[in-house]
Amino acid sequence: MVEVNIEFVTIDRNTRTPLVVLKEREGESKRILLIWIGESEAWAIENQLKQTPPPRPITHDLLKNVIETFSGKVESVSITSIEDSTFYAEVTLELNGEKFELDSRPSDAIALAVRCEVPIYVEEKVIEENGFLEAEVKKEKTPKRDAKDILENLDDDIAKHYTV
Amino acid sequence: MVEVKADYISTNNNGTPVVILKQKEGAPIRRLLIWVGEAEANAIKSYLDEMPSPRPMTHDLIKNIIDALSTTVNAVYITKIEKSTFYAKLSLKADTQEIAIDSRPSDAIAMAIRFNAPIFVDEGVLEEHGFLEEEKKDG
Repeated sequence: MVEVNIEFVTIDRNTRTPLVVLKEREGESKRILLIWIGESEAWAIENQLKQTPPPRPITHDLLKNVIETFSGKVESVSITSIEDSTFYAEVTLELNGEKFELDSRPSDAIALAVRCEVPIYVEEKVIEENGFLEAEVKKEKTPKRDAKDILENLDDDIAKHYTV
Repeated sequence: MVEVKADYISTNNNGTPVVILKQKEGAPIRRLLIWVGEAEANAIKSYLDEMPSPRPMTHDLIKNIIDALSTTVNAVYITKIEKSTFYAKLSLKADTQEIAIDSRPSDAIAMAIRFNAPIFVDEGVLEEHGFLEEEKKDG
């Protein structure tokens, strides 16, 4: 497992679908992983990152409140596999010394992780096969992988983050 | 408090989803409309229509977590309306402990149907904002 940070949430221009950009936290070659998510989950991640909470608790706030009310603790979340282009994730929950691994979509797991301030991990094999290097984005004009194409089509102000 | 059931989900002319709550007993039967977000509308509709998603949706994850916490949703309450915003509470029960958590009605309803828990509306809220079937046809 490698730990990742959320770089940012944006919209893929080609498909008009929100996506979250995850970046390896340590190591020399920081790899990037893109995960396409739903609009409401993108919003849930974005407004927590920007610290602009809505007036009423949104669904992921409720989730966090439920866990805390019963003295549960989210330890971490992990992106564990990809099957038929669908990423799978798990939420690791600790309650009274007992651990639970709960099946989740990555978007919900990430929205919860940012609220509980816990690490986000990605299975090495998943980032190895589906991630790419930050430097590759700039160098290759004809991307071999779709993900790069997406990144190159990001809004200019967002693409600035990728000036290597 | 008056018990209601989540009758169905519809949309207004602008495409905003609305959940129609219907008084369960008594006469006349009143209805209450609550506008909700798209994701929450889908979370309610997919469950009412028994069309589960291949992957757990957010409210399914909440249900799984509540189950893991050895807790259950025993009721939800739509308690008040302030500045056109409805307020609700999710009542959770573990052993003898019962705790109410602040929630939007949409999330509360999505959870209630997943736990087969009753949905209650404050009498004052239903009195002021509910309507009878005949009124709906007129307006």
